[in-house]
Amino acid sequence: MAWYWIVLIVVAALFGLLFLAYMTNADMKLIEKLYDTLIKYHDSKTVEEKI
Amino acid sequence: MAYDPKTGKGLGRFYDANHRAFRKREWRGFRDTLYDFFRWLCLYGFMAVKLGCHPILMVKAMLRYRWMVSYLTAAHMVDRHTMGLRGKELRYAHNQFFSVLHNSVLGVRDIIVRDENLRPHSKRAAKLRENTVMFDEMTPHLIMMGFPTVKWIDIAMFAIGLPSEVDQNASMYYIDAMEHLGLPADVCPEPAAESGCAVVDDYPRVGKCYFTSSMPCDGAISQTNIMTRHFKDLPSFQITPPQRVNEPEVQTYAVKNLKKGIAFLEQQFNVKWDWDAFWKNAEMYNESSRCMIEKWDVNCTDYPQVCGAALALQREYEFMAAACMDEFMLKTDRRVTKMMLKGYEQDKSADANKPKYRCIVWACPAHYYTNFTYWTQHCWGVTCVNDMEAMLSYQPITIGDKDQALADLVRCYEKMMMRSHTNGGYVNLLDECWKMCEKFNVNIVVMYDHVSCKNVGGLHGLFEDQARERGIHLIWIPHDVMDPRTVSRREMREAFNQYMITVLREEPLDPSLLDYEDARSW
Repeated sequence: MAWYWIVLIVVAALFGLLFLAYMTNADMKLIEKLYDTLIKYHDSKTVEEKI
Repeated sequence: MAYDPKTGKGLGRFYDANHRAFRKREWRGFRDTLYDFFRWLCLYGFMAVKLGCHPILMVKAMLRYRWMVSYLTAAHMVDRHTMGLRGKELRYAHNQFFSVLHNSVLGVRDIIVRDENLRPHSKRAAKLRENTVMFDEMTPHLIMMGFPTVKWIDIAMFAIGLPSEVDQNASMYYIDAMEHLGLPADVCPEPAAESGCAVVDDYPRVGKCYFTSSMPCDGAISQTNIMTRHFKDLPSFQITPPQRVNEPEVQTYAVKNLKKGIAFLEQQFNVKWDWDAFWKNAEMYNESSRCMIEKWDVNCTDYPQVCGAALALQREYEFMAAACMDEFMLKTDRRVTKMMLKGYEQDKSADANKPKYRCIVWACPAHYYTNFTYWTQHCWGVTCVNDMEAMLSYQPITIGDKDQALADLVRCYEKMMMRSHTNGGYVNLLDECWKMCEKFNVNIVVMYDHVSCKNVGGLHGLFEDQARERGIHLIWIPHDVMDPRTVSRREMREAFNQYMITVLREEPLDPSLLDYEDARSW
């Protein structure tokens, strides 16, 4: 198989995967998990409140 | 129109009561979906290029600052505002929002590379801090037009202002922190959240001095006191634009005050006010204002183009956060103006559909529901042709005349966000509203009823009486700026629904948007 076919297939596969992630909102669903974890971490911190 | 009457599928189906993210993204037809996908790639690509090269600092920032977590949801913010849009309207909105996010991403990068909390021992960070001034959110940075070698960062905008518009949950923790110390819960959540952020020591330390202002309202004045106390180890200056902004007598004082601010910065950074740089930046301000006025002029016609939050938020950030000195924002202004004029000509020659209802938005809006007017458009066909938050300073700065230019600059400070309409007497808030209704040919005013705002609350009765006399539909939408626990997005929508159903006897264009739960959403 010629090298340009391989490049084309890789680019097409990458495009397809990204488009799938975009349409299913996979990026924001993943970020939701990360967001909840980080907020839980911040909630667990002991913070001194002072003016 | 995103609603399909045959299948009953509308935009409401994307909301999930149990999740923050949308169920999926919308299929908008081949061209528009591909365009939206391209924009999505651009946003992530830009963030990866600018922030991805500081992976350790980004992780440290996420763990150090609660507000930084909200920036993860930037793509959702764009989705919230572009949902249901098609064709040129989608393109205007993407261009406008990307320019805001472009400026914000660079701002976040500037914060993390110089923050003392994240890099306490870095000599490079210390050197950067030595040449940076920290600003408050309600203080436009226009004074920096004459200091091209000094960097400025608006810490309150990045820690509170912008996150509260990206993520409705962002400010609640800071409001609670301030209320734990005895602040009554009926104080405006904006100064409360900004003070709360100081109380829990969540502001980045990115400069060698702090520049603030007298703020447009009493709650915000107290916030200035708390902030200056928080940064007590840093020199600070408070610029104090006059309250009676319409009186010519106060302008001499205002110019003197501005000159004191200039002297403070000259002393702190050992530099001189640079008139050449000032003229160049003033030209940029003038051009961006001209673009803004062109958008208003087109929106006065039967074929409004750049509407809703795409118009308001971009101007708000361009003026307040970027001080009209962001080249990319100006390029976007030029591009969108060109697109808009072409779109207007197309609509006019094709006698395209006109908006079913036209409205303007008045009074302080809910930060946690910036896409409210897109909802009114998709659900009820009520298109927002202008927003009080976009009606900031637009009068040009005189180029070449130094005294007049400083007087014009002062005028810009007096016509900044909030101060422009809530200071200087009722004419700026009440009479101005009716003038705008006439200019933009609207008979609906989406009147934001900020439940904690004492300034606007005092004029409630006058607004109602005068709207009735003029035959204008004043739809009061209660909200609490940054605290969706007081009035939720759903309750805001319900207030609008009630008016449309009971007074205007209307049927929703998209029934799936009539009632849905989005309390968990960003």
